[in-house]
Amino acid sequence: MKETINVNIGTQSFTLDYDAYQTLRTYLEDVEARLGADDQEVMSDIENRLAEIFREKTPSPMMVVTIRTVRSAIEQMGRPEEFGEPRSTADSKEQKSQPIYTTFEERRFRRPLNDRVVGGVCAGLANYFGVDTLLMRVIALLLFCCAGLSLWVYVILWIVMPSEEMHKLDINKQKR
Amino acid sequence: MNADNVKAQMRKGILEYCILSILSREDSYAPKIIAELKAAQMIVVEGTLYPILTRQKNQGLLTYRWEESPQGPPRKYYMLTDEGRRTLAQLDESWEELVKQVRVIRYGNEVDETVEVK
Repeated sequence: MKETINVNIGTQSFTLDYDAYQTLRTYLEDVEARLGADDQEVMSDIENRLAEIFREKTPSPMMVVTIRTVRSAIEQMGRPEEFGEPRSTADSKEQKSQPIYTTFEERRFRRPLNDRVVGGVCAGLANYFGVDTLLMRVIALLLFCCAGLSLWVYVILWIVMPSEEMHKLDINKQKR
Repeated sequence: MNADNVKAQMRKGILEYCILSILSREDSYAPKIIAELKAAQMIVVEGTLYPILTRQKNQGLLTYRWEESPQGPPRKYYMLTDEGRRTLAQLDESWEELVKQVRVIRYGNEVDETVEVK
């Protein structure tokens, strides 16, 4: 059983799963931030289009819009950075730098899938701090052996640091 | 990698021109314009188009009307204004010019007349 929410998208009524609703709201907020405050008209065009896509994918108004539908609609519409073309280099840099920086940081704090020795924690940290993976492993080993760093630190980081794949699936949800 | 980047930049540069061209053939609505642009590999995602359409409308190149659609809510049909047609004519000219100049640069002046555009 899942909680649902009723929303009005482009003057049509939809029932969304709660996670689908959250993802969509975050997405629309990000798009709005990218467009700037005065682009209400574009926002309503986009909402109308989203409503059209949802209608196509959920044939009956009784059916709930799931997170899968929302994600595929978002994929079709594109990431917020892809909206419009860059107006001028200075403009777009200013607008873009903030969101890109955060997603960049978020993306890097994770355990890469293809570069693991134990849990990928060292590789993840190396990516995060921008140092060589091997160097990070040597430092970690030295800390564990000679400086008395508890192995629990590694275990906890293993748990806390998201895996690359999981993060990809949850990218929209975890943004906020 | 770099070639892809340059290709993307080229497409970006002529995107507005292409939108005007599509609308010069017939009035159209966003998803249909998107389908044409996607088929021509001009854009990858739909979101790219909407801000551009609105900007072109605000610049007076386009206008729109609401039209009933067979399924679902009414659609925004975009069409060129006179201003838009004049702009398009200018862009057509500079496109021809650009193609010609690039051809001269690629093959040199002397073969200009003989080389066919692929």
